[in-house]
Parts: sequence; structure tokens; C-alpha cells
Amino acid sequence: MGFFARATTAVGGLLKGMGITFGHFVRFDEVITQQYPENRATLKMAPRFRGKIHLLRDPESGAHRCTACGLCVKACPNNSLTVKRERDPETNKFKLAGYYYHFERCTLCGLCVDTCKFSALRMGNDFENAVLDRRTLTLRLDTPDGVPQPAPEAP
Amino acid sequence: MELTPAAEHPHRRTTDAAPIYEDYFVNMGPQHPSTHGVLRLILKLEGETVLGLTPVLGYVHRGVEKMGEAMTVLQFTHLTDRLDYLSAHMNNWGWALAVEQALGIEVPARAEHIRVIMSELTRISSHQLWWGVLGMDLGAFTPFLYGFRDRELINDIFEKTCGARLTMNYIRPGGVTADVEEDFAKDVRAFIDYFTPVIDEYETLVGGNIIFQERTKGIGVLGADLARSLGCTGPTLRASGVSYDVRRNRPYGIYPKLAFDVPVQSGGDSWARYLVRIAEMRESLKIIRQALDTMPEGPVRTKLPPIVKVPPGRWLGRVEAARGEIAFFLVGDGTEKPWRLKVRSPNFSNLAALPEIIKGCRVADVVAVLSTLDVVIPCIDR
Amino acid sequence: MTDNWIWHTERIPPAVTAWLTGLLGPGLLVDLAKMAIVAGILAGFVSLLALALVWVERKVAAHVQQRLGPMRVGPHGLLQTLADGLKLLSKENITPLEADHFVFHLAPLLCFAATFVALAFIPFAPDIQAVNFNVGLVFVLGIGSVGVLGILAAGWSSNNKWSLLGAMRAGAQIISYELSATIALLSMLVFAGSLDFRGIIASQEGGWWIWRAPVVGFVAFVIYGIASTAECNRTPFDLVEGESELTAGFHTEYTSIRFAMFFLAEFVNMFVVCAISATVFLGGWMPFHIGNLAGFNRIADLIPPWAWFFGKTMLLVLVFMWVRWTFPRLRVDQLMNFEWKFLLPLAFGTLAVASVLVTFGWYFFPG
Repeated sequence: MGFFARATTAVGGLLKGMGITFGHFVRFDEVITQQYPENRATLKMAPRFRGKIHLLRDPESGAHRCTACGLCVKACPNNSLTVKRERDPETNKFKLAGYYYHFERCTLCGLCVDTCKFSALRMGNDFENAVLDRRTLTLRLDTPDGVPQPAPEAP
Repeated sequence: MELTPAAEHPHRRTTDAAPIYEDYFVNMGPQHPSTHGVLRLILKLEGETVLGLTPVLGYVHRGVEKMGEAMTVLQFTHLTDRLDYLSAHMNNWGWALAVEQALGIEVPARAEHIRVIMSELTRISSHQLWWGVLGMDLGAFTPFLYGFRDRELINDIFEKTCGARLTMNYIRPGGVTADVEEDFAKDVRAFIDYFTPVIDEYETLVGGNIIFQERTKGIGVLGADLARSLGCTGPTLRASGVSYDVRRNRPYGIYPKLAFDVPVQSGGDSWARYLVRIAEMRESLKIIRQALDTMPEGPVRTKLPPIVKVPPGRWLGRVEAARGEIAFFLVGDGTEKPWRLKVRSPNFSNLAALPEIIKGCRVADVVAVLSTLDVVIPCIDR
Repeated sequence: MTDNWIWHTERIPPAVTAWLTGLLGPGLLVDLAKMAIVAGILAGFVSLLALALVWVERKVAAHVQQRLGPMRVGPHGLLQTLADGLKLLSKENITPLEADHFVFHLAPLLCFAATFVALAFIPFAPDIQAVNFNVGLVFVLGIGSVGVLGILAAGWSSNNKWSLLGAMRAGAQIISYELSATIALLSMLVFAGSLDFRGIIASQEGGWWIWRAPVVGFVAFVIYGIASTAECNRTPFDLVEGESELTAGFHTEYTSIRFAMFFLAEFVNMFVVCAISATVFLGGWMPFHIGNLAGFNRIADLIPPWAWFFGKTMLLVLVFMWVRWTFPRLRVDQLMNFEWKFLLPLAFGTLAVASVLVTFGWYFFPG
């Protein structure tokens, strides 16, 4: 290929590239930026999005579905779950006495939810997990009102 | 890389023999915009020319293999995401293959199809990121944003079905975590329709640019013999003229049933690697379309025993990840946990080519060649 | 309507002089006051210019990449640059331990002064020009070269290997490309017959040199465009900073206000080269006229001259930005090859052809 043919191809290639960027430049409707904190109201994560885990309750009795069997603790690769259990004096069965969640160690792999035989766990949709104090990442999940509370006493 | 005493230095200029070594060393990394993570490259320079290069690894070593020995085989799956985080699905699949061989489980047909679709989507998204970063490494910022723009669409598909965008932990021994969500096929088809013309745009914006061609053609030439002896795999190997692809040479999953080409280039230079990856994106679209068309209904997961014990023996699960062949070598001793675990990282072997092919190039070429080798540091350091 | 000082800016300097003479009485004091006023105006102009150009650059980059760019500080992020400037000012001013302190502190001043002084010679509108000088163009080109000294000094004194690499690239690059830029301008000066900016503009009464000089005008315009991009260290010739290779090149070690000075100098420099290009090739503040179309010419005259000047300059600046956000960077040897084996011979050829054309009077609308 001669010098001029090559030069023409080269300049043509450059101009085509500039055409593409100009095409996007003038298309203001193509903008894909999300103005994040402002769009909180409309920002919905996918239903399956894996966030912090939540303990579920039985809709009828209102009690936690968790039977403190400890399968989730065994399944967790990072030791981020601790279940305290005690014997119910009446029925002589184990019951939940404290469900602790070390969120700072959790990798959100979902194995605990996968293993639970009683569907007592669910992964939430919240993604704003930043905190100013890492101690607040250790949570107790079986609180009376269902809102996870920081639990510095967690084992 | 050995030091050259000043007295014998070929480009010696001064007559006084005061300095013992007069080579100009610079550290590229561990904190550097273009080493794609915490990779440190020690460059020996003569002006702008690179005389030698030594990669220094280990800045993100986490001991994944050793961690795997302390975990059950099912738990380890989620760590494979974190090796080469850009081919998370393929890593999952490689591990799942090893475990499935060990346990002798069959995977349902629907799960196999889902695995293929997910893996090929991962390959595309990985190549999109590579394309964008390649542009940025060569000084063009816009491709970076375009690459990420299109990658978002794939991430959204992943998020809807797998629940996460990067570390999905979706393909597990026995199948996949859950069936795809209902919009999946529609979303994927929409993505294919959107992305097919966008590849042409990619090729015009970057590949058609004379500056880009000049920066990549004939730079970092990796010969077929060298590539083979260093254990390079994936697009890096195929750009050197060796037609080797795990999907075809050691078939797994439903790949034998699918019709696809393995793009091969003979140049061995950065330009050839660019061409191979662009062609792979098109091939992946083709594969996804076939897998979607033939996807049967049915279960997506084989039931595993509550406690999975690895029988004594050795198994190897190998898959073609976006950067080459990733393999998981599993040695079982009858317990829940692997006795030994070895990850064969494609990035490690591909990076090994860099010191060999960079000699005589310029400083700017280090960045360009490293970018076309497309290494992911966490996979190298493990 | 057009008979006031907005359209006839040449009335402003005499009026100001008369007012100052009335205030201070004739003598040296008036001259000093005029210098102070002009210096103040230029300093304010530079600040505003930097604010505007950085904002435009960000918005162009953003929309090319389908983003929005800065949106938070002020409407559409207009005050973002101000916020960034304040942030830079409030940062610690770090000098590396082993740096050559005197040179290290001098370098950003050199860079900034070089571009700032060049602004004084640019005619923004009739008679709106800080210094009128009969070899103005030569002086601007000369003073522009001082900038490279600042870059070299910065890279050398930082005592950082990457900075030094960047500075050495800068030295080679800017000095080489200045040749092409100067020769491209020279081939237009052959047509204009003057080194004075006013003379150059006056010579374009019958049409702008970019098309009045047949073909060579356009060729020289393109050559100057490429060479001046290289002089400004902008993509595709931003090897000096080369973010992906050298992290930040010569200003890696600079922080706070000193970094801001380099940054400011870069943007002002871009404006200066575009202004020179607009003046020499596109008629400066001359309105766009088409031969005998009296109606069209009258509408063109409705736009004041300074608006024409800024319009042309900003258009060129936008092209600079457009190129920056499209192209990758050249490699250092390719850069040199391109200059010495292609651009410079082409520039010399243009100059030769231009001389022949002028000698025989073969150009459009010879006066």
C-alpha cells in the first residue's frame, strides 16, 4: 500500500473514531449516570440481591423460625455466625438465646440461607453497609422488634 | 535480571568508574495506575528502552489454597470467586467440576445450559473491561467508560439471577444455586441484540485508530514455542498461533454440543491478542444464543448429601476462563475438607511471558503489553 | 445600535487614559495606574478562564463518555473548579526531602509566568490588547518556550525517576514540535507580511488566511493544530504526564498551590495556542464576511468583535478537547518520528509553497 493510501486510511480511521465520540457527545439522552443519593427513592435492588442476612419469623405465631440447630454456623466459611441456645425448661428442647452476626467477616456468599432447613434466614436488599465504627458491624439479629442491634457482647 | 557492572555496560558514557552499577531502575508499582492491581514491576531502563523487567508478586497473597484446606469443599466455592474476580463464574465452575468428579454427581441439563450462558456472559464482560482498560492504558479514557457502560448490563443480569454483581458464588457443585429468574432469557437476548453492533463500535473507536495500531502491532511478540513452554493459555496463547482451548480440546459441560469457532491469530503481538479477544466476544454471543435456544426445563441442582465427604483420590477440574485455563487440583482423604488444593492460575503463567517479550520495548510498551496479556493480580498471588 | 463601546472597543483605552489623566494628572502615575489595571484584569481573566475551561473540559469529557460530569457544586457543577481550587489551596505544600528546593519552587512559577505573559499580547478585540508590539508573534512564541524550562526544572528538581522521565520527554517533545508550529505560522506570516498581531488581523480584511491562502492555509492550520496540541501536552501527545505510564510525569511530586499552577498553566496555554491559531488563521476578532452578500455581512457585524474572537478560540478549544477524549497516546519514538519525518518536512514544504504563491500573488482576493 502506498504512502498516500496509508495516510488516507489512517486519517479516515481517526475521523471515524471522532465521529463515534461526537455521536455520543451530542446524544444527551444517552447519559447513563445515576445520581445516587438523590435517586434513593427509585433505586431498587434486584429481589435476589444478597445483602445482610435477616432472621425470619413465623407469620402465625410471631416467633423466630430459627430452632438454633446451628447448621448455618457450620455452613459459614468465615465464622461470621454465632448461635447461643438454651434448653427450654418446659419442653426440654433447644431454643434460640442469641443469634449473633459478625457482618465484618461476612462475604455474603449465601451458604447459610442455602443450608437452613427451616427457611429461617433471608438475605436482605440493603446495600448501604458503611459504618463509622467497626464495632457496630457485630449484630444481634433476634431482637424483639426485629431490627438488628449492635452487640458488642457477642462471643 | 542481572545487574551490569558499569565498566562492562554496553551503553556506558562516563569514563570515571565511580558508580558500581549505572543501570537506571524504576519501580512500576505496587501502586501504579496501570499495573491493574498491586503488581510491582522492576524495570531496568536505558533511557526509555526497557533492558529488563522483573515482576514482584505476592502483595495480595491471601493463602487461598491453604484456606481451602481448612474449609469444606462446598464452602471453598465462594473463595474461587475471589481469585480472578473477572471470571468468577468460570472459577466456580472449575471448582464444581473437580468436586463433582470426586463425588461422582451428575449435573442436570438445565444447570449445564445455565452454566454455559453465565460463563460466556462472564467472558464477554471480562473482555469488555479488558478493552476499556487497554484503551486507558494507551491514554484514551473514553473506551474505559464505554467498556464499563456495557459491562453494567451484564452485571445487572447477574445481579437479578445470582444476587451479586462480582462475586456471584452461583455455580456450585451439583448445579447452580437457583434457577434463573423469569426475565433472564429476555434480558440476555436484549443484551445480545444491543451488544452485537457495539462490538463494531469498539473496533472502530480503538482498533481502527492508527495510533492504537502503531502502539500494538509488532509490540511484545510472543512466539508459539515460548508461549507453550511458559504455559500461557487462553487468548494470549491463541494469539501466538496455538489453537488450544479447553472448551474444545478438553470438553466439559455442554460445549461439545455447541458450534463455535476458536479464534486464532498467528502474530503473537499485542495486536493479535487484541484481535483474538474481540473475536472471542462475538463467538461468546454465538454460544449464548445457542445455549438459550436449547435450554431445557427441569431441575437445576442435584441434591447433595448433608455432609459432603471427599473420597480419597485426586481430581482435576479445568475450564477455560476469560484469561486462559484455570484448573483446580483436589486431593481428598475421606474427610469433608480437601487434603490438598492447588489452583492453576492462567494469569500467573501469562505474566511469566512479560519479562521475556518486553526486552527492547519502551516504557510505554510495558503498560500496553501488560494490558494485552490481561492479568488479574489476585489470581496470580492467590 | 452597534455604535457604542461594545462594538467599538478601540474607544475604551483612550477613554480610560483620559479618565486617569483627569484623576491623577499627566505623568508617570497614569502609566503606572494603567499597568496595574491591566495586570489586575489579566489576572482576573486568567482565573475566570481556568474556571471556565476546566468546567468545559469536564463536561465535554463527561458527555463524550455518556456521563453527566460534575453536578453537585453550583448549577451543573459550575463552581466545581472553585471548590477544587479551594481544596488544593488548603492542602499541605509538600517538598520532597531530597529535592532541589530553589528550582523545585521556581518551576511552577516559570510555567505559569510563561503562559500568563503570552496572554498580554493576544488581541481580544480592536485595541483590547495589553501590549502592542511590532514583533508580538515572535515574542509570544519565544516566551512560550520558557514553559518547557519550567517543566524540565520541575522534573529534574523533584528527585523522582518518573518525574525525570516525564521532564525529559517534555523537553524533547516540546522543542521538536515548536519547530513545526513556528514554521506553520511563518508560512502564514509570509502572506500577512507582518509580525504584529494587529497587522496580521488587518491583512485578513479580505478573507481569513485559512482559505484565502489556497490549500497551504488549511495545511498550515492543521500542522499548527497538531504541533500546538503537542506543545500543550494534550492527548494524543500527553506523554509528558502520561498518566498510565508515568503516573503524573513531571508534576508527580507537586502538591497544593504549586500543582494548581501547573494545572492552570496547562489550561491557559491551551487557550493561548488556540487564540494564536484563531488570530493568524481565522482572522482574530474579524467577523465572518462573504464577498458581496451585504445582508449577511451586516448580520455578522451585529456580533461584537470580542465575541467573534472568543467564539473562534473556544471552537478550537472544543476541538482540542474532542480529540483528547477520543485518541490514545503515541509512544515517545513514534512521536519523534512523526515530527521529524512527517510534520516538519510538510511544514517546510508548506512554507516553500506559500513563498512561491506570495511572490506571484497567486492567492484569493489579493488586496
